[in-house]
Amino acid sequence: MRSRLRPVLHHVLLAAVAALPLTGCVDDDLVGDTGGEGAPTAALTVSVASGQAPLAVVLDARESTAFLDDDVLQFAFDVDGDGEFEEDTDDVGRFAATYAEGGTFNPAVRVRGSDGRFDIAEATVVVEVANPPRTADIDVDSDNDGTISPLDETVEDARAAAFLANVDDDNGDGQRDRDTGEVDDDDVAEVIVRRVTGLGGGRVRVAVTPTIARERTVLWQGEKILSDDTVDGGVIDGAGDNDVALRLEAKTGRTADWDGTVTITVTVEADGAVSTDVVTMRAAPVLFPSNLQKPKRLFVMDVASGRDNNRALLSAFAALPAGVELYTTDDDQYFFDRWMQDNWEVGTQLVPTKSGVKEMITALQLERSYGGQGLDAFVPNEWLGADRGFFYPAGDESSHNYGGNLEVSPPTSADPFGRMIYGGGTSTLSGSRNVDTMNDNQVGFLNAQELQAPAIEVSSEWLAVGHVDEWFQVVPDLSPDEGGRNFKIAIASPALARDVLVDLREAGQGDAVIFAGRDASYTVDQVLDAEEFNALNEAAQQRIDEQQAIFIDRLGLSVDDFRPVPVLFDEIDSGLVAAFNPGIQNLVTVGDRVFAPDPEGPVIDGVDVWQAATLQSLQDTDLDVVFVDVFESYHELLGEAHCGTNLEREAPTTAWWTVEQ
Amino acid sequence: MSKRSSILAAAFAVLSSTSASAAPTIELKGLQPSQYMQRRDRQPDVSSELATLSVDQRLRAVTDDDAVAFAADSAYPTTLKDEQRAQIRRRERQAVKVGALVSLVDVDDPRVDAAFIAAIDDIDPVVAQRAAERFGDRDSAAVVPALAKLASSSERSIDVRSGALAGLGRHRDQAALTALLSVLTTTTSPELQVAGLHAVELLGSRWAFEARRQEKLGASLRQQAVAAVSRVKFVGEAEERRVVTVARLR
Repeated sequence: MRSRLRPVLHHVLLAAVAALPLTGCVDDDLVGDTGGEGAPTAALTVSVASGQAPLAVVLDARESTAFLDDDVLQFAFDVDGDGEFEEDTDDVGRFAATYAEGGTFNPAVRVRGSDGRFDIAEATVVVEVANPPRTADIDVDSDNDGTISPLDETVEDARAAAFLANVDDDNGDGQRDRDTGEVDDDDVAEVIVRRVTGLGGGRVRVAVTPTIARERTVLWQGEKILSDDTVDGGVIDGAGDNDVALRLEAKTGRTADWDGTVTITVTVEADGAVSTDVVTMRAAPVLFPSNLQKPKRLFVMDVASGRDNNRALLSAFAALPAGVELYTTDDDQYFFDRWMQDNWEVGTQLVPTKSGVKEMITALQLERSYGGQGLDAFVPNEWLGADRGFFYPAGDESSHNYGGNLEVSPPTSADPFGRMIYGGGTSTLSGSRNVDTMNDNQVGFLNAQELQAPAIEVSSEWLAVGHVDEWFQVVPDLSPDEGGRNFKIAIASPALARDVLVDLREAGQGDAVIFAGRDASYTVDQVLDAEEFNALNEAAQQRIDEQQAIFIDRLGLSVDDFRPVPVLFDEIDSGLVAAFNPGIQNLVTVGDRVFAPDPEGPVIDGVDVWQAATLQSLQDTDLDVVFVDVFESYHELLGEAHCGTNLEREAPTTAWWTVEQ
Repeated sequence: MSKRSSILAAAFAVLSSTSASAAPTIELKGLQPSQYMQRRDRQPDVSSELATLSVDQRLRAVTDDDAVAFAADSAYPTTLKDEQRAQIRRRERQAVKVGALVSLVDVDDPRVDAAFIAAIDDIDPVVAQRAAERFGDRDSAAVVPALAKLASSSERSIDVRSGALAGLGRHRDQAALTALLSVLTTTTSPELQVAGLHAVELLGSRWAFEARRQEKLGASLRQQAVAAVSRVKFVGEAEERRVVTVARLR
């Protein structure tokens, strides 16, 4: 960090001051009359009017005259011409000054009579510097308070100013603004290169390092790109005239191979001398919300007709909590690809600005390509817009990459933004090898954001779709115990589902029907007597128990933080399993209401026993549980309510830049 | 929209299957991309549909690559790359073979055993692995010798051999346990050790023996398994799994 340049003046009292009484002096604080009748007349000459620094100049006011001949004049000199008469010489009318810095100065003398009346005279001294120390100075919002101020210099060695990846589409051209080749004032961070006095024929360059940061960012001066691909960087125009405002944006955010850090070095080169100043900036992380954050927009495909239409779900969503917008996508346009949860994960980039925190809602476009015929086109073609952008890490295709396989644990003291959770592993419930997980690009991206990392992998490879939302979901706890957490984890429980059925059989209700009225329905006895079905469900329960233990260990939870809901699993041809009954935990959390798949369990005395078990399990959360028919619209297609929806939620209120990373 | 296949649905569908005469080419709705691409896993799953066909047709679907009609290229997104299309085709063929085998598990016909034994030797390791796993569900004396041989074969991939171990675990009888423990206690492959332990847990499933109403047999098999597994010592993940397995079976 450089020191601010200040003129240094060396003052020498030229003549010995006579030991005169000071009774005739008037304190500078006292106001006198200047000029006019009765005032002295000031005169000032300089011994040398111009020259090279350091320049010795005698300021001579001895030609000043008093109004009364016998009055003794008092002299005070303002050497640097700043209006402060800092050198009080009493009755000595001369002062020897040395001008060490270059510039044009207007020294002055104030001549005061004994009655306090005074007069001022000025002169001019031009000081030239043969090799002036032109000093580099670059400033950014290092303290992240939204403005660039002198305070930033005090922390610029230790802190990084935040900036955005410009991945939204403010100009509505259908492309992310990073791709347009034009500066976008809405989403850039300001970088100020201070004026270099006396630059003359010198030049000021600005360089972005390291190389990967140069590739991932653009540093603009007006329409000119300074961060080209050379180490030397670009030359700033007009740096000797005024402060120059540059603008920085990122083309990508933090990734596995770049932590988002940019070092900007400004270099002043003049007359063989070099001065540099350095600041650091860092791309904002993408933060993903947990289900506890307030919902803003709920996305769902409007599957209008056919046996698998989703009228029931849309009807339920007609009663969303106030302030939540329902956004429906067209079924035909996206080839009936109804899995709105899977093609993207909605997050946010936040940076401080003068007017408050700026948010760019930023989606993680997930690897789910199937020739463009599906929702893989939704984010880039329909959702992208002003302050809505996306990243696309790509990678190998696997259903483990989809959004249903990516959840966020709620914030805790240890993880103030929660932790990312995804699924993968190595074996089916039978133990047969099945190595599958989220691809490295996506996991690398998640971990690169740091604040919700390291992402936790739990087992989901035993499931046909391979998603963690097939066995757990975070829900709010609206009335936690004193000092308790404000959330619970709804977790699929084959044991609970089976226990309910066993109780029915023991009560003589073994012929009660599961999925009554559906094409395929079963009695309680049939389900309990199916050997391999039960073996796999016991294995599923054990697998889920193991994952619960991981949550407890890694997130510091306890068994009481989990709420089992009755879900059985059934094997499909691949040897993997999917929910046998609509997976209740695969629910949609909208504020204090959860829309849960109707499990369609046996109905005894008008009560669905699996619904009842669910309500009992979630009772102490005070959530409003709404059961929704998703049987043909989602469940038979291996998904449920959560799988068919997505939510934009409000950004976290904790400023990420205040949290140690 | 076709209903999803499932172990339960297949089991009950087979009871209602008819002996329709074999058609030259089998048409399956579940193989139409417009159908199965709407599933969340985007994979065809056809055992329930195949279970409504004759045994002869299902056997043909396993053994004859031309028995089933696959969709024309025009049924897929035109923007697919060749590699993607080839991969989809491969998955469809796997789905047909495995789906047909799943639909045949409960059919009392010696040709089914032969079909399974051929399938566990399939050139496609995915078919071989899944066939081995499902062969264990079959009530046949041919199961254990074939799966034991496959599980022990150093010429086959770990994945396929793990399918054989899983099949033994699903078979759930004394012979299967003996074969399973034999491989488990002699293999040096950590992957097979883990797979074998999972299979032992599945073999000893309390819920399964309750469903079968053979809790005593289950207890006996679990006791033998605990004794055998307690005598071995693995390292790393396999040892961690071994501890879990013993705890589960006790």
